[in-house]
Amino acid sequence: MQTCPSDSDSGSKRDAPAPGGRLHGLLGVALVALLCLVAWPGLSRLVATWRVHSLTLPLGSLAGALVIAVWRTRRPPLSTAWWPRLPGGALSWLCGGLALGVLGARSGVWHVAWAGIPVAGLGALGLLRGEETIRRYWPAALLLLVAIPPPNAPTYFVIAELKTLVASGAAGLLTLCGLPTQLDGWVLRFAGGELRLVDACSGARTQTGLVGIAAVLLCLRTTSRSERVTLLAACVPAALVASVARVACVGVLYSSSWLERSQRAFVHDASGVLVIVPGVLLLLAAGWLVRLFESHACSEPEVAGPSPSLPQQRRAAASHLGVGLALSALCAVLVRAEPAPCPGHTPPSLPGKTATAEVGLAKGLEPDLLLARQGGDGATALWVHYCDLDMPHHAYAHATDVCYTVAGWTVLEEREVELSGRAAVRQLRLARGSRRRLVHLAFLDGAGLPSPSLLRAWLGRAGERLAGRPAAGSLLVISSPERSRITPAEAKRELERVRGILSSPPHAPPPR
Amino acid sequence: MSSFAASRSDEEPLSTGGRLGWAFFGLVFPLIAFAADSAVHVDPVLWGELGGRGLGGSPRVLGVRQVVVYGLLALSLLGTTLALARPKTLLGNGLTITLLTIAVLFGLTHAIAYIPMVPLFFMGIMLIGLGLLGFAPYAASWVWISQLSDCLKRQARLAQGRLRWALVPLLAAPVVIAVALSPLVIQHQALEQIRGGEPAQVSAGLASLGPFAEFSQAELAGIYPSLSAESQIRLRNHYLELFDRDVHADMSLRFR
Repeated sequence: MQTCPSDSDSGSKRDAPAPGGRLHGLLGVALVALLCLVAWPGLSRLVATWRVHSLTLPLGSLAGALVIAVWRTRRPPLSTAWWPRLPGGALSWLCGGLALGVLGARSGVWHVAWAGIPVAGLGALGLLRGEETIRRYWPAALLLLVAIPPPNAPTYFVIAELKTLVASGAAGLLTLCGLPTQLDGWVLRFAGGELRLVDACSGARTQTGLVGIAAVLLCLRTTSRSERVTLLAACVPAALVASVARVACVGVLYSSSWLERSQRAFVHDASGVLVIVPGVLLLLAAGWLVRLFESHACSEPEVAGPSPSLPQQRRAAASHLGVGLALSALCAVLVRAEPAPCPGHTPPSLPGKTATAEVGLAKGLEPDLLLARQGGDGATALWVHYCDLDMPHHAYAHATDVCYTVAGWTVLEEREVELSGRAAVRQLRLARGSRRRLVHLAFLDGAGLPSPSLLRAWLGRAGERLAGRPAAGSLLVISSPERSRITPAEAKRELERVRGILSSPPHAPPPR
Repeated sequence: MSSFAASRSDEEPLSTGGRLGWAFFGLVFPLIAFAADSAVHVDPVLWGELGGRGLGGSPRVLGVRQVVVYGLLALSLLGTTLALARPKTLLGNGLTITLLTIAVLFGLTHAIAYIPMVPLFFMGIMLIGLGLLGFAPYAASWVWISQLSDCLKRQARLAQGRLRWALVPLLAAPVVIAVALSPLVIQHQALEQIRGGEPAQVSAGLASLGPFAEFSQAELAGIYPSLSAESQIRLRNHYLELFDRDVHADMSLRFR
């Protein structure tokens, strides 16, 4: 490690807050506290999400952030010559964070509100302790953002693609290893058992962990730009390779005769913990390779030089009047902000058939099955599937093809079908062995209108809430009976049936 | 810049013991293991059945899988041999990197496939040490990884830091493996089509097998009993054309 005298020499001078900054900083801290108070239901939900899904996400991020923060407080501080300076001042970061918080709290997209808290906290810290503090601690704040699970609706596409990649790779590797494997959707079937790939098998969590490890590695060592890029870019392939290897190992172990069925859970869990090891090794190997070649390069590695400090004129431009006005405006918005009801505290959205009438579009229907998330015994003539997009923990708001695929169905064809110009639905042709199923699905956006796109419905619901109108987001799936073959005539008849169901005038969404 | 690479000299010659270790565990040991396996048919990657096929006679007919696996083994052993010679040119070293990457992937695939048999190998050590051969993939993988790391260090010195001289050989390995495995994929898809059962599918599947039909004798004989009567007639006729043998005579063709 090298020390950078210039950094430590002028550190105390640059640490000094701007005149009046302490007052603004205290005001900023108060605002962040107020934001936390407003977003409290959402925060409790964040904790619940961590508890339910994985504690490794927050613990890893917090540990990483702590390591960086402790390292940055060392005296004299180590070199930050390569550490880029963030654009904008403390005030802009505080305002940006608060704006995110207000936006998230009002729209009900709590992830945005959570993301605003570290950003606003960083801004407040900058006002209290000086601009240099932001430069020192922004990597720690960035790492804290990794702990926030992204909203599922926009990210499930990525997760689905990753799962498909892992499933295909694992099936190929297992077949190569002498275990002929059939891939149905995301279900791997082989002699001796089957493996069902869920979100945790996609390698997304491993990627998050690897990003955290890469961030800590980058922050604790002086690195060149190419090494930084390589380490961060290697996270995705490393996690994918590690996940494929893990699934293949679990598969061959499941098929072995000496492993008892009761020991399978242990093998599954242990491999889930150990999957990070090959991932980290691959990440380190990528970094080692780049370092190795750079050490033999004729020229010195490219190191980002110290970025120029903000001009004094820009600081002066942020006059006391402007600061006061901006903070007052934000304060007013924050106080007036009516947080969206936290769905985690509402009773289960559709507990029984009585809920059918509330949704509107399904009014009058007598579905054979009402499901909160997944299911279906395959023999039902009509499958109405509800999924409240605001389900607790925001974990499972994804399109229905995910549920089908994870249940072993393969999507043969997927397209949007117009319904007499009024609305469109998504049509899925599914196959599972010799069984066939035709599914029509739509999402009810904030205004209660059907939409074929989950993302559009999700954004529509957030937009409605942002405009101060109560909004509901639900998923309506109408599934055809299962057949060995679906003819075009049958597909047309099913579409007519769906058209009939959706032709009833849309009802206003139920008050929340 | 302090780095692991800089802290250890690349010019450091390999000791005789190290060279012997590499030669034995990276070259001789895998060769002995594969030679022994041709008699006992244990390797799942080679024989396509997890847990092996058990003791049996020597293979009568080589299938596509065996040709591919033996080919990859030959490439791996060539890589080890080249690594022992320590080529001094960029191209030679790059070729060694490609071959060693293939070797590492080949060894790790075996390592995964051998996991369920590890307890058996431990017990097999008591049989005049035969079980030790089951650990050949693990030992060979370790040697191949060490050799690859050594080659990369040498390449870094030879290429004077130009990373493409390492990236291109490294990325070439998966391409070579994909090309090598493509006959297996084609054969698998064609056999799945034949398994479909319809007479037309049998003909179409045999057509898509193409040149690999010659190496699919055992698989076709294995599929034959599961087909319908009409499809069996179709396959029997094609089989006679291809191999000049009656499929009924080869029904007992278990070990290739």
